[in-house]
Amino acid sequence: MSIILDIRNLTIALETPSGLTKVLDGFNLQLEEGEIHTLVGESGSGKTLLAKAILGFIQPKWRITADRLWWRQQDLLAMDTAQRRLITGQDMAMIFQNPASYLDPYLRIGRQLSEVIARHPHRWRGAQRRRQHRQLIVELLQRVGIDDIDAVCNSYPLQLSDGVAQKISVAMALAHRPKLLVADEPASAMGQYTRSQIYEQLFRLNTEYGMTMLMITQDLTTMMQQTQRLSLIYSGQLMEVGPLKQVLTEPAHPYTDAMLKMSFLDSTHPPKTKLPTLPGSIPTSQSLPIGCRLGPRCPKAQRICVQRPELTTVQQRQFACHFPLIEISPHE
Amino acid sequence: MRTKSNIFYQFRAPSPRQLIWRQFNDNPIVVTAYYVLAIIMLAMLFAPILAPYSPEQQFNDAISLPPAWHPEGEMRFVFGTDDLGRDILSRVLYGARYSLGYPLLATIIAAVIGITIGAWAGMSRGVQSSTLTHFLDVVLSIPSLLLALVIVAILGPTLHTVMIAITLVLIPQFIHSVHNAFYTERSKEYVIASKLNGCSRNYLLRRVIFPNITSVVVIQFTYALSTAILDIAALGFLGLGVQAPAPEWGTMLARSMEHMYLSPWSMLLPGVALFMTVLTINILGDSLHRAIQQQDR
Amino acid sequence: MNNHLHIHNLTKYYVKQLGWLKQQRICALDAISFTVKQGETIAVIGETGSGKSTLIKLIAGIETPHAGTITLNGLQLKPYDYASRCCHIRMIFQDGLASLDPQRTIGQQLLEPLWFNTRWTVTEQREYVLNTLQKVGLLPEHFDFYPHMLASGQLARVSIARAILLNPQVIVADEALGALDPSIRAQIINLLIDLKEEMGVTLVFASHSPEIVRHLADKILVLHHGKMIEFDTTTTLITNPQQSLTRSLLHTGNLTI
Repeated sequence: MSIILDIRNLTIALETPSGLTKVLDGFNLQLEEGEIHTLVGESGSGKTLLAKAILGFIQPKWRITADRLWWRQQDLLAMDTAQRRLITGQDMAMIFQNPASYLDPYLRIGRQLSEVIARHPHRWRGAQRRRQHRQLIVELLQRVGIDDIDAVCNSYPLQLSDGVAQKISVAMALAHRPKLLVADEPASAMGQYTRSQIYEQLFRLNTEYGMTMLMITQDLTTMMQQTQRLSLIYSGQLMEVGPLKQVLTEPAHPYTDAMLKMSFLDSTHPPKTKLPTLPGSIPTSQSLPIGCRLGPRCPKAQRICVQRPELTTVQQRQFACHFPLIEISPHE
Repeated sequence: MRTKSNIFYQFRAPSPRQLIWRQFNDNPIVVTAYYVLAIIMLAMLFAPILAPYSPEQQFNDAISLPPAWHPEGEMRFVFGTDDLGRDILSRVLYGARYSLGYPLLATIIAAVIGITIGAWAGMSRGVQSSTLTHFLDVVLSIPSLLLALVIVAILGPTLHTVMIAITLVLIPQFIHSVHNAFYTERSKEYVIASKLNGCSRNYLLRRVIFPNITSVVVIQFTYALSTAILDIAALGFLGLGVQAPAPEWGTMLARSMEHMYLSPWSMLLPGVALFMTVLTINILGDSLHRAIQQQDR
Repeated sequence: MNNHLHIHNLTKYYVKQLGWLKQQRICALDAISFTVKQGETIAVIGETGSGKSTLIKLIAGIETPHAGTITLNGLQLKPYDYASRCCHIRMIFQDGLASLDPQRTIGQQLLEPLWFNTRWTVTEQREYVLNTLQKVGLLPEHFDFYPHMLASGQLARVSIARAILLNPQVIVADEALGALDPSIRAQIINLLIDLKEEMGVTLVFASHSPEIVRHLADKILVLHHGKMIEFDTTTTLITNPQQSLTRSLLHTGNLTI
């Protein structure tokens, strides 16, 4: 498997009135072609910023530095805006948390879909063009599981339920057959049933087209059976990466352990009893702790934690902690 | 704050009003406008002390005298005199009462009445609410100056009628904006939370909703004030407002029009005064609006 | 105390205007009746648009029903009578920031219910608010904070503080936990469990997270298009649901580790 997206030591700093704030601090991510990678991070962890940096939606107030930000061996940071946009347009797509907010409220869905298709490489003209577009739209919508195609195409975004709107956005993302799909909490605001539908659609894209996916989510409970690898990020720092099964069964990082227990994944926990928690609250961007940012909340923290732990690699897993929960054999 | 090396320093987010004030202070143009307006206000209040002469005192030896920096000017009359030999500077200083003081008064009265009715309409529902607001929509559809003209035409051109006209014209705008603000604020969650706390209607109105719409009121107030100033000046210019000997800026401009070629300076000072006043008020209103909007985001 | 909170035939519909004179009634809740015993925890589940929120809002008193009654300990609660209702039923709001007045400090807002519903002196009220702040895990300093200075978890705590201030018998919550971060959510769940133990309060909450429902609820009420399709104890519904919808709503999508 080749690595399609290679991020090494990515730092995004925001210019604020009180100086630069590193919202993402030394982040690493390697996406293998065709995998589903889930990135778990609580609010303020910089996960949305990361997604935007990958796709190149960069604000002028961001300072982005990285040892490597490579997309299929091409350095994204060295490119100018036009090249970057071309790559994003051809190879990447993103699905946002709130679909209704980025569909144009004044245009019918059909019109918006044909706008997306209009950039399709085929060159049709006139009536044939209209017919072909129609054909493509029908295909796309069927693929994401919408039956009532005419009604949906003729309605405005506000008339659609969240679930359908999100399916439309999946269809839009799909129109160009991107190689990478970044989904930022695609169904967190939806009910259980719609949520599982959306996830199923997304996972099918992976199995059918081998699309690489970066799923960004807030908690571990969202459907993850399909995920191959898992990254946990806290307050802009990478805590742990590894294959899903390994991370879940024997977490290396205290944060992962706590997240697992808090997310009810530990089935041994009887109802109506107190959950184990991390004390304190998530640090705001004005008051980030030095060293390991989990430090003040970490049950295993000691004095050395004011220094940033190095990312340790053990076989397929990586974690950044001075006191990992798993044994590291010294010769490795 | 941060420059003082206080070892107990802790970051503390400022209150909403402090935030607006900070934002306000960041822009040098706004700060300038703020001070210019303050100076104009002070000049208005202390005109009897600052003005060298009475506004109606005529100097027969100095008719249509150019400003002091002109070779023919005299130091006695810094900005020159008009065709009746009255000191322009004194007239403009005293005139601020008519051209800024009275509009201010009219706006305050209009604001009190408008906010009361607007709040009432905003807190009521259904027919009562729509009667109160839509009845006044008719009034809103007529330009304020035209309406003031009609009122003055019926009641006759005196200072009192002009004041009544301006006040009446401004009231609907206040009612409308306050009503809308109340209406959107009323359905917000924190108001519902207060309602569920068992608060009285009066408390809800004054302590919960009103502090949150002050921004709307302040912005509306600045717009209304600049409208009032321009309207009074326009009425004066047309000869329908404050009557002749009174040193109202619009009236002064109208008079100086007759002698534009002979003594252009006589229209300089009242014109500049009018321009500066309206400009500073508009800048302040606009930047306040922007500061509040930015904070909301 | 068998019929602690009794809800009978509760109905609510929204009117949708179609053109000039045509109206369409959209039923949000259709004749719901159920009884809650004191100290129980009831979870209301259902898909989006099934009327969970409406049910919670009706019990809290934010909206008024078109038919039906809510009775608490044999006393019927009248709509619009906030003063008497707020001593018995309180609500935890979902969005901490939106449900707090940005212009007033936390303390001022927490004093509000005491000011209107007790005859205590100012110092007593203040003392009580400070105690309550401590009870929900906040510091006395937070009394003087403005809402925008607090983090999401702290705001959730303030919301809870406001709900328990008047020692209510029933607390309702609409998705109060769903939007929180996992580490904060666990803290808040613990806080709720603590408070329930301490105060013996009845909790009615709506949620679309099966994990939370399984963890907290004694009984589950399943809504579908405004109708109550199941109401039974949590264990019964998990082990033996009558409706397929119940099963899919309570299915945790859990990973087999």
